[in-house]
Amino acid sequence: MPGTERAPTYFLARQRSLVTPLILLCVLLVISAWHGPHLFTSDGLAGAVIGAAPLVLATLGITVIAVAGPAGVDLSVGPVMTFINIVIVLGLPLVGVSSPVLVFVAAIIVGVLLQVAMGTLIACLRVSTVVVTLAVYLVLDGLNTVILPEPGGTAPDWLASWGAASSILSPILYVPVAAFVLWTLITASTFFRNIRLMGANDRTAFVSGVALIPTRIGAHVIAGIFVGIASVMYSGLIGSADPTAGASYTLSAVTALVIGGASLAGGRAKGLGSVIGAIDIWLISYVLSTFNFGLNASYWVEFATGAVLVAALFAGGILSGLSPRAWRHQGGLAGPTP
Amino acid sequence: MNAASAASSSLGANFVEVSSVSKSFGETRALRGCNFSARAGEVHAVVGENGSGKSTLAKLLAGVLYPDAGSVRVNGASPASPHAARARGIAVVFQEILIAEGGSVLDNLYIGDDGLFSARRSQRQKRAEAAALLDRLVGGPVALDAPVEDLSLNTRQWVVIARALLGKPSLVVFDEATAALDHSSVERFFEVVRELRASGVCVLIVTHRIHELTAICDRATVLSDGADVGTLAGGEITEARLLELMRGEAGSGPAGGAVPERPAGASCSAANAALVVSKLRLAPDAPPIDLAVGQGEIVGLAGLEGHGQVEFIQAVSGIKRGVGGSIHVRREGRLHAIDSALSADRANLAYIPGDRKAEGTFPNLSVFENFGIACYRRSARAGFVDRRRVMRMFRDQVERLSIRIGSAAAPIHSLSGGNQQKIVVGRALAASPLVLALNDPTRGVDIGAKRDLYALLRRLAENGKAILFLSNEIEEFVGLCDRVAVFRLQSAFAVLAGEEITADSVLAAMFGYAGALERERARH
Amino acid sequence: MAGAVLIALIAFGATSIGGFWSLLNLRSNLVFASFLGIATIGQTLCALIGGLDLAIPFVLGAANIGLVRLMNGGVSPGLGIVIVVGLGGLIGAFNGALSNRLQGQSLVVTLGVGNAVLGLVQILVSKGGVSGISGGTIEGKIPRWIERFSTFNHSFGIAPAVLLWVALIVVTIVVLRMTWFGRSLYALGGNQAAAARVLVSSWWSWTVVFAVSGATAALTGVLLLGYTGSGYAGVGDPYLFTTIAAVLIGGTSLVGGRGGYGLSVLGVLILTVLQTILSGYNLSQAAQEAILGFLIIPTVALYARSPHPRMQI
Repeated sequence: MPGTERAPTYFLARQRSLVTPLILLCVLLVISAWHGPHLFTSDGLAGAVIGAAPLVLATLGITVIAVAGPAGVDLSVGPVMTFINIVIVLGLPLVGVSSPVLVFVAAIIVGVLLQVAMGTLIACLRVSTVVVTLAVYLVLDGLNTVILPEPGGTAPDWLASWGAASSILSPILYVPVAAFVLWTLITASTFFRNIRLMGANDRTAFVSGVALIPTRIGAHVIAGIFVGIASVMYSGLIGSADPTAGASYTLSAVTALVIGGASLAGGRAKGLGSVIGAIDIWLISYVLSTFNFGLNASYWVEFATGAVLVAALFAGGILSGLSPRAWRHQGGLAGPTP
Repeated sequence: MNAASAASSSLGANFVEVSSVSKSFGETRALRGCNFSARAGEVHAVVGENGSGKSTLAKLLAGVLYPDAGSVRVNGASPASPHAARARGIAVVFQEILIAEGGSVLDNLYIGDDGLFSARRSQRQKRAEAAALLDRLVGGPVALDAPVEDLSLNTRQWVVIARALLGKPSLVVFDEATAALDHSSVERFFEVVRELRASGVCVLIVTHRIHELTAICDRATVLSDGADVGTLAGGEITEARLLELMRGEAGSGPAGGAVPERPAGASCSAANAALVVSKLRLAPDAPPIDLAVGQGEIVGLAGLEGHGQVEFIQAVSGIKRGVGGSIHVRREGRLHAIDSALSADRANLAYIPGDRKAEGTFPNLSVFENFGIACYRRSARAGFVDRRRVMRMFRDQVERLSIRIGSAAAPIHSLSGGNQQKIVVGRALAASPLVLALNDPTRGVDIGAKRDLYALLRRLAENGKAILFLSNEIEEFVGLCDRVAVFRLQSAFAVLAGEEITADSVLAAMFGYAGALERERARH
Repeated sequence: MAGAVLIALIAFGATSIGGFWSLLNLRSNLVFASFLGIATIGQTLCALIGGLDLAIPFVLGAANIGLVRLMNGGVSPGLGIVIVVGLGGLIGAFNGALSNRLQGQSLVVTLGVGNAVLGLVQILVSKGGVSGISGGTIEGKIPRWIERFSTFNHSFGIAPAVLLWVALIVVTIVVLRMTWFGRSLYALGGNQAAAARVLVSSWWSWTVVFAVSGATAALTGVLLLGYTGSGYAGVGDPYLFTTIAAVLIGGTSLVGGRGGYGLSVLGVLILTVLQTILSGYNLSQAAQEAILGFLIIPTVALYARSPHPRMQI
């Protein structure tokens, strides 16, 4: 019967957004092999995994929000992670919680609660995602500094040991892999398809009977789960609590999202792209750290991250033939398509 | 009224029951005490001028809007939301083609069909059903995995119709669903409607195209100014009767064709040609197009959807580029080439869009600013706008086009579609252009405003303007145009002139039958 | 609306905080307001055409340290300011041109360009070794007139920076209301395709608007240098969100086409009064940031909500 077989061309066309992050990954791996071969030792790989894992997971979290669109950029992710980091390091010991399972559960609950609060505001008040997450960014960034003016505290021992892991065959690998399996299951679900279609065109979804408010809040629940897991990994990575890291983490995660090929117009973003994008971001700072920039290293990272983001946008634009597709529904181009 | 009550009492119970419903949007009262009823197993048309409340009625039935007063009942219950309406077997195809760009065709067909967490049908079942239905509707296979934005407008419209049908509805509302369908598709659409009626589904059709509903409708309810003014049944449904009801007591003029009689035909000669298109190709492998439009001439552009007439008028207006060839406006003996919107403006050519929402009006600006924005640039001195001068131009055009406006400072959407279109036309005329290119200007415009527009175009032609007039309603060409260029496969397939222009001959040419044309020519 | 909020806040401050009305307080507040106000010119214009400029704090910081580096290197202050503001404009123009070509994704474009620019300027400043940069701070000899420009001096009564702001307010509002360019920005924010039909070039408008934003950000960087007396790369950090907050609180929608700079001026004044009140309660900078965040959502919910999909069918 015509139309029932899966056309491979469409499958390939949908993978086109992965081209940019993959090319960048290859380039960075080649430079690493040449200039920082330490990466390919057991030690180096473990460091890479624990170094990149929080960003990978955080990027997956905000990918759902980008899919739910429109203009679904979650600016709050950095301060949210920092907040959960403070909760894990300073808050949970106060109530005597330190076992791995409970820490994960608590982190996920805090992440989900924060995201649900934002999702409810976005869905019910119909205020744009950027504005709400911006407000939450300000609130939490301020609050984090009020609670903890200086970096301090120590993570639970089991968690702190993750940061110094020397083999990748340990929880630092199992947790992200389990999280990605969870991601794959979620994206295959009916619920996620509704999120995707709502992101592509919420009016179509609405008149077709998709319940917009639960669907949007659900997208934020998924984001909260991944941001929660990311925060645990992040606490393991730095081994303490740091109130100041929020802003740069937001920038890194949004950059990773864009490099990964997500369309901020909504409806189009791939988890795999976001994962590769996040790995790219980590590799950029790794590669730069192998050069001897001394005190200037942080400037180079800032410059390179920004430049790569712009370059990725360029490349993405060229690959899609600068197609004004996303622009069109805002009235950018009129007239029927040939 | 009498016809309606008589008809409903003689046959079974009403499936749809709308009683004394009112709905307002701010100051605008879309429906005021509207009554309407329809039975299962009938095709019922809802007709009326623009702004008479037809679309609002459709939205109430879909659960998209709620009535301010009165009640809407379908099969005994009120649709509380699109979700609830869908569960009760109500499917509505809206005027705008609502698709989720980025989703596949299959996603778009079954959007909203799944529950929150689980699918109601398996993917395999969906594919099989969808393929079978689309195959029948579109008349050929459609790739279910293709991104939906790659489809033509015609196929997208079918996808939206198929989405409504796949839910096995008991009430289907088509709000101008044939607007984007090409001619052969409309025939298939009628078949679908007849099948639905045969299987006991209640079908409501909201339309502007009167000849369509005379073809398939059992009954027709006429709305005027937000209230029902009468229901016609069976043989009573004629163009004359419908127009009479729509116009109410004011419609004392001759009901019937809305198109004015053509006065003595103008023609185009090398001497008076104002617009000269030569060897323009719309696609690399398409035949070149040569067309000249003389001063005082109205040339219609026709064609099935996607056959190049829209691209042609946009190329002429400098919005899109053709592949090779040249476009010139001749003004005062000098040739001005057109290759961009700016050069078109310099050459004194004005483009008037018909899709106001997409490329006509500015929703954030007032009525006056919507007019003025096109005049500011020309009247600006050192960048500063001469508001007083523009206001004079505005008053002038409002009077000439008899635009009905409340306050000039009111938002543009306070005007009816027809008056919004007149603002768009007026701001183009304010620059006193030599050549006018109108891209489907009567789309979604009520009959009164259409007549005004036809008369205006004739008047402009008599004053020596050259006019290109693209339309999707074939009847419009007859009597209005001096010539009609019919597009087929990205080129001008035939150019009809004078008495050759009949609905049948234009249609025949659109489908590529040159024979009919020859016969027509032989007859004269 | 925003005006009522401003009056209510002033009334609250006057009754609850002693010394609220003292002249010194008013003067110093106006200086702060003028910094924020000038930086907000660009953000308002960007919002009107449906964009967002997140590069403002980075350009501001880069201009701040860049000018010190130029002056330390022997460039005359006047020429230095021209160079810095000009470069700010060029960076902005690049932001606008690229965002427009990339279907209006100004948020990520400006974020990327901003980081790249500030990173690059810090690398360049720290080279040369004339006077190194440490912790993002660079010391240098700032001419007295630059310092006096941004501080209220006794002979004049009011800081020249405030007068500059007032002049810029007038220019911006006149341009937005009375010129073809200003009106075309509203058209562009309302309906891009329709704007193209009346010969508004979207690419050109975006380029100019973002160039203005870059230039005003750089100018704010210069003024802040006069105020603080030394270059600091992070000096612009608060301006990332306060410029957006001022635009939103004033009542200009981020979607484009509605609002204006007059509203943003009200937004700036509201933020300034609010910060005075919060400081009066001895709240730290961080706590003030948190409270500001809490306030954004209700103000936006009041008049920047998007319509329900049901109204858009």
